[in-house]
Amino acid sequence: MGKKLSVLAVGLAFLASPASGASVEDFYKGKTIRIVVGFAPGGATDTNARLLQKVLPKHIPGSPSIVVENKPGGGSMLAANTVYNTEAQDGSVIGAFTQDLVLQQALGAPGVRFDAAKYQWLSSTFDTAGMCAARTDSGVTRIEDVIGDRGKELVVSSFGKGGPSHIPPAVFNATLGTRFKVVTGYEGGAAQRLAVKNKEVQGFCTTFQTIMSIAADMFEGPGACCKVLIVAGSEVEDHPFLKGVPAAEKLAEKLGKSKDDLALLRATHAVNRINLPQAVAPGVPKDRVQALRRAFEKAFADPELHKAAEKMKMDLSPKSGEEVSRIVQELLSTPKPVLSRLKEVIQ
Amino acid sequence: MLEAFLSGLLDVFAYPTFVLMLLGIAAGFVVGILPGIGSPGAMAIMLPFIFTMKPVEAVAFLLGMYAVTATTGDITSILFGVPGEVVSTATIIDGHPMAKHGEAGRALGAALMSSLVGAVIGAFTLAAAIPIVTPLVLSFKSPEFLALGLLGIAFLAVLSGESKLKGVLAGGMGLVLAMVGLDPQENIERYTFGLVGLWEGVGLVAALVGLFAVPEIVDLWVKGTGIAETQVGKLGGVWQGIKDTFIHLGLTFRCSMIGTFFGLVPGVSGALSQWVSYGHAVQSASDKSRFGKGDVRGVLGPGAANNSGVGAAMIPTIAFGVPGSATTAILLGAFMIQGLQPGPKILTENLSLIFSMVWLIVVSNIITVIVCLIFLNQLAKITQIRGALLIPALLTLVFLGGYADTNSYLALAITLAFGVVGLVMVHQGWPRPPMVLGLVLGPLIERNLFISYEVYRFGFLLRPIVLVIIAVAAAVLFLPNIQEMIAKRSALKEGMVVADEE
Repeated sequence: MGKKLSVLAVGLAFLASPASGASVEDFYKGKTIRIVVGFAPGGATDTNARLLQKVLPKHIPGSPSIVVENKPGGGSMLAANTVYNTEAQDGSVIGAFTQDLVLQQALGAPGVRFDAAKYQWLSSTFDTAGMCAARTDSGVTRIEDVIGDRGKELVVSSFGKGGPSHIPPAVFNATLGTRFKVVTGYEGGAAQRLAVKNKEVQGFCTTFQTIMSIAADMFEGPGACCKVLIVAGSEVEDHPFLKGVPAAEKLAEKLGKSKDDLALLRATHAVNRINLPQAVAPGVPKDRVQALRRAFEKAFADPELHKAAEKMKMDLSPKSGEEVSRIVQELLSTPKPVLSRLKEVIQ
Repeated sequence: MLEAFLSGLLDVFAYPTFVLMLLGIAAGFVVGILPGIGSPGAMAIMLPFIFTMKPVEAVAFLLGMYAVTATTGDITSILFGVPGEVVSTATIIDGHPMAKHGEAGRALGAALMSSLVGAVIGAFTLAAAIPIVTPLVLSFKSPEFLALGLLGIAFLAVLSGESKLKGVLAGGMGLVLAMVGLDPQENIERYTFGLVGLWEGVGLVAALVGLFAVPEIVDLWVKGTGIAETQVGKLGGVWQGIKDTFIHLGLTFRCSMIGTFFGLVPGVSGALSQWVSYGHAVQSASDKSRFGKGDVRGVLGPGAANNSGVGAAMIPTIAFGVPGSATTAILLGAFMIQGLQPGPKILTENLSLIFSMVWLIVVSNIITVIVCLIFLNQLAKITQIRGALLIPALLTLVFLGGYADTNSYLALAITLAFGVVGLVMVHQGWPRPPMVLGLVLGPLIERNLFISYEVYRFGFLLRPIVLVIIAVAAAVLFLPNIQEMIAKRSALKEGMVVADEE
């Protein structure tokens, strides 16, 4: 349905301004597009951008060349601020940063100098969910083991407050009554997982996408040490690692949790549905935005990209720019009381 | 195992792997020599090319580059007093004074040979350690990392040269500067002045380039001569440097082992091991008077350590997915692109690839050292070029390198600010190495102190490996004093005996 709609949208745009297709092509011909990545080279956002760098050009009218520029700082907030405010607004600069920034804006975090609602989103790469896992030798085998006063306390490692390793346990604690004890301060996801492997802590929380692409060895094979306890959202993906694992929203309903609790779970889950997003600044002309959005769709359907993604064990679940925009709007219109409670929970 | 060892070697010489390695080496050569512009930037540029390569080809291409940067980085450190790479900063301390005294050839010879020895030892230790490496790496937890950080602190005094008080204060300043940014526990802004660009702290590359390069350039400008204050000696110097490596083979070997050890520990980078090696070179010498003024042992130590760490650093990167530096982080990304998931499995299932890596490090270092030796005399002559001709090129490279740290003008401003700090320090006789050590150690100590206390409370102090490392740190701190006391006493006794006899 989404695809049909978008084809219709392109058609309408074409009818409305017959010359625009040509002008987009003229603009991009011989140009170089910069993808400004908010993190240092080597991570997921960077690798994703470099993968797109190879495939995207042939799908953009005028076949511009693309370079990736790393601009690390503030957990990619610097890149988001710069692309929004100071970079060229002509469609030659694409920002690639973390989806968590949208949540940061909703929570009124310091440093945000953009409005995610006005950002013109081009795509996102994964539709994933936050989750928590425990070591199999921790004595915790199901989420119920850590719920309530008689539940066991489970120490989990985290690499930063307000991020994907901290929000899930904090929100589960607040809504479901779990007893995750979060130890923050680990230097990045790799150090976070090493602490689980060397038994310094008994568990960790991250996104399921991270597990699939970089930490599958912790759940299968000779080095397997852990089991997933809970996944955010209302449904659980059909995957061997997730057999019998409850979805957080379903569990909340089962436990008779309040509407507020559910709203909190939903708001924090929404952001992971637009994992690894790309966007251009508000001032970029609409016809170029449309051309870029369609180019991203075609790139994500390109066999070349799929081959590379398969090799990397990346299970792509892209979203169109329109869908990303919708989810961002939804997230930003989360009721104030829910947001202020979330702020309390993750502080 | 032996079969994999040999097939790993054969794979390196197969086409196109070998050619790709040569391309990588060529890139590494240039990147290593250019100050500020380091291996992470080069590897990021090389990354898109590997999508269509086979794993061994991709590894040859990237590792060929990475393996030689520490070697060629030493060249820049010696000739210009500007760090060619982050890991070759310690080479400046004695290497550059040697160049100033017309001993550039000897210093370069020593750096190259010790690099080669270090690389070979590091690579083969990696090969030999594969069966025991998993339990070894897993035995290092937050308290052990903290203890390693404290061991680094113990070396502050050794790195301070003649003025211990100034050294310790400079180290303290380094630790304070390391606190700039969001605190790792609560995300509270510290000394960021509202700049998001400072949230992740002061960029090490920008800081190092400023701290060392700017004073050198100003010095060169004021002097109005070439870098070498005296005439560069003839070819003999290079061979003397090579011979030095073997005269001090024990030191070279020990520093190679230090580099290997620090490479093996996940998340601890070569930025630390070069200083520990340098400190060890100073401490193990009976005559310390020449250190900081051009002692060849001060070149051999870090020269060996920064290369031996390259091989060892592959283990935490590929077997545990924990990279110790910006470059290995990108290398990890490259492995993912190649469909090689990090994990202990990789050590058993892709053994011949692992051995190819060992051989790649060895072969690319041999090639580099030979090429460098051929051109060494020409390189050493750079030190005779008039400063006025060198300064524009150096300035351009230095600020380009500073900017490239995070691709922002803020990084450039940090380079400039540290340049001023460096100038003042040099002028007032303050040692810079302790400040660098403080900058490197700050995050390591802070993170692990909090995590250790969170998880173990004070129990972390009683862990066996922690106790051993703290004992070593104590030895580093107090052994020189004890030795001195014993020496004084025995001198006193002898004096008394002599007096009695009279």
